[in-house]
Amino acid sequence: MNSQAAVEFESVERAFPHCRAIDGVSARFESGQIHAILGENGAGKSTLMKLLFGLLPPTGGKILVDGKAREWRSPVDAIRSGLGMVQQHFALVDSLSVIDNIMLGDETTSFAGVLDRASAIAELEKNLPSPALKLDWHQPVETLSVGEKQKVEILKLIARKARILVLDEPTAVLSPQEIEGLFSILKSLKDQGKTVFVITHKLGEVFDHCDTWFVLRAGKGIGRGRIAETKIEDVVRAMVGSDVAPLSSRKQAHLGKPVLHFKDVSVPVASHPVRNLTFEVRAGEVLGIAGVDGSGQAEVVEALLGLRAFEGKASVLEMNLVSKPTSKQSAEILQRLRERGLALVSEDRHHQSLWLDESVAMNTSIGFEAQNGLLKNGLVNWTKWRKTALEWLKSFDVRYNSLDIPIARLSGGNQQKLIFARELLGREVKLIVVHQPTRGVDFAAIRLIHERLIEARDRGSAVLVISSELDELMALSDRILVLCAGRQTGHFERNFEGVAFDREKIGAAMTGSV
Amino acid sequence: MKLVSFYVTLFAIAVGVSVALGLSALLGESPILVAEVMLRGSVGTATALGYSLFYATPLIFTGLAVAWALKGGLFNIGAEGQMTIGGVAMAIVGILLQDLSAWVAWPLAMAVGFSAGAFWGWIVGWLKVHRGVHEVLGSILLNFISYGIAGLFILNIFRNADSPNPETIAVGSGFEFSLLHLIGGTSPLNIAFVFALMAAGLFDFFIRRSKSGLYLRWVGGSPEFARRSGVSISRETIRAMMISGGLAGLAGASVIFGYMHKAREGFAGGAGFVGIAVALLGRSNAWGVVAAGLLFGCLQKGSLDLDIDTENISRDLAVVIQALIVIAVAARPVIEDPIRNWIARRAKVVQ
Repeated sequence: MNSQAAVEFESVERAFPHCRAIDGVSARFESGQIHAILGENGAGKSTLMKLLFGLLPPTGGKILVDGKAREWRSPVDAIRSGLGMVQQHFALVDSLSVIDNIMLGDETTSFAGVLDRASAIAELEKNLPSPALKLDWHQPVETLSVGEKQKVEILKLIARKARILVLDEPTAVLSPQEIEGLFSILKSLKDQGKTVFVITHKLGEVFDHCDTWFVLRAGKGIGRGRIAETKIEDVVRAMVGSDVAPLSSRKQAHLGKPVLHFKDVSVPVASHPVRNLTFEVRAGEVLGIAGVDGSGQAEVVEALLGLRAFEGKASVLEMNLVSKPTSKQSAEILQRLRERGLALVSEDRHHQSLWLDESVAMNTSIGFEAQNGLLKNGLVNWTKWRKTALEWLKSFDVRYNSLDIPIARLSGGNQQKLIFARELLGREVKLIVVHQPTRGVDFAAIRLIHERLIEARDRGSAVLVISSELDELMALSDRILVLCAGRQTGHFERNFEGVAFDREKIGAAMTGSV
Repeated sequence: MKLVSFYVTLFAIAVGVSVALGLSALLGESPILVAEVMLRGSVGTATALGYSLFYATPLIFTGLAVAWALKGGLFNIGAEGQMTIGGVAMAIVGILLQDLSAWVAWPLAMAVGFSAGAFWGWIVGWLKVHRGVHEVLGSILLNFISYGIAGLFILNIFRNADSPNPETIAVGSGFEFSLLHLIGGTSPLNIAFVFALMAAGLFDFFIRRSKSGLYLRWVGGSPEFARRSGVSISRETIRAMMISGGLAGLAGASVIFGYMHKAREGFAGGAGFVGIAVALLGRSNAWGVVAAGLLFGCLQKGSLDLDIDTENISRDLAVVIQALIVIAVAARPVIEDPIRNWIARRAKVVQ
């Protein structure tokens, strides 16, 4: 490592009231490389990058950028010194155009403060590292796909002349094709001499595209190396602290009665319509639905929950759904489905599955007070509530400092484990519907979640997994149904000997080329 | 961390009061004199305190009303109208049933006031759920309709023709609320103040302990999660607006049954709007609302003597102070976030 260091950490520390999030991290990152920052959820990855970016002040140690010790008072200082960060949740104004979003906060103006979009575009195009980043500058951001929105975020950094770019979980929301595209853009940035940090859980990408890896565990730097000189097992060991046993081998499914049945179901919406979908999920099997994000998956989920109008016939847990439910009917249907044993893990964790401002304890049972025996005469028994929470969080290995801290303070993996605990424990679950079950979730949590889903299947639950991660679906599913633009474009059965699924064929179906 | 919020709220109040006293100094009036006059006028004697509590009573009701809606993520700025409708309904019952004894009359009056206010709130909720009318728009427009309805009953149907004032004939004597002389001296402080405290107690109990209170907060705090858990947002919204309206509907009881013994045009007197500030200052917490209501009651009473005892300041200073407090409370993140950050930085590691 002889080239110049872009970023150096010297015994950096960051303490919070309840924990030491970063505990004496020292590391040196060369410029002009792509560095992967790895670690389980809660290991301190995001905190470390926030320290670098001035979003949080360190409580000890030194951070050097380009060889000089820095103490940012705010992110503004960091931006001026050539740092830029793309957060996991994008900070874009949907109603404004691409170029307006890029200019916002750093506007090029001509006479009397009139926005000079033309010269801003010219300047930007001059500095584009790759033609793949070129977008229709005047298109409103709300019409862009997730992948394109991410490009806008990267363009914002390029326009501000960032030399050190930090991307927090950049691939969590992207399709496989988009991920390839993203990394080719990152490589072009690297070719321009820029330094890129990628915070991620996905080891596959790291080994395909990054130059170095750095593993954090419990706030400490555990391992470090060049990708070219490392075996993947070593990184996994550094991340979780021990060797991980592969997902237990699985038996043929013992199929029971159909639990969910769609016949010729269409969801006629403008954005992502679903057309003539027929499938069933039977007790004791895992059906995976594959497809690029926005192929109608969210609409299928809402239809089967009774939350959305549809055409055709659908029955769930021996109940025929009303095809055009009023909001009152929707609530009644969903309540009855839950009483009959529906578990739901929604796609958007923060908005659809958690009450972010509330405590860990609250989130562990909310919505299931009656089924968990926490109600008496309409009053809540908080003592019992907390006792239940302690027990369940333990059984799903959720890491938290106190039952009373807001759930928002837990890492993504721990939040997701809590959601699974809430949905699966304390009652007989007959149908599990999970949408993006492991998005933005760390390695160990993914393993735990997958194991619990397979256990549930073996006990006779029907499981419907909707995911844009093909690896996940191939690990979990007994059958995979492929959606493309709202139509079924493929159906694959698991092969219990040899290779389970033909990745090439599924991939082709996902893009509709069959 | 809850403690931080509490101190910051106190700080906001202190800022509001200090700036107002500073302004009075600029106008050539000694801040010490102003403070003294206001303190003496609001809590100096039993009667003064009684008046303060009397002024606070409707504010506690309307503050609780706004706070209940806020818990459910709704902004009810129609407490004034709900209070008006509730008050008119209570007065009508009082006028029509002249011979009722107090034991029947009081609970009946409160039930009628609550129901009428709840009906007015229900309209707002119904419009939001079924017609997509935002509750702010719906509730403020209904305020104007309520003034018209109040006028119809007070100035036409039940008008006291012998009085020079725009007011109704008197309610039955059974409807007259007992005065609390022990606390309030010769002020019109009456049993409605106790009812307000009871309402706060019930509010607190329902929010903390009941499933319905929990679901109200859930729908307010994470509506999409609640919806995907089988909670009917429509039902919760309508119910929240009904209870909010019902609480506001009770706000007129104190002045109608405890003081006027009739309904006079404009008896609500803006209490519904001040209730918004009370709810915000009290952070939608029942006892916080009570404390904020008492503070605003004291400010209103204390400022009255400014007209007489000072040269350059009028009672409007109370409104200035209230406004400054609201601004300081709204700016709370500006004060609070740096303090939280500072605490985080200073915090020792607890293992």
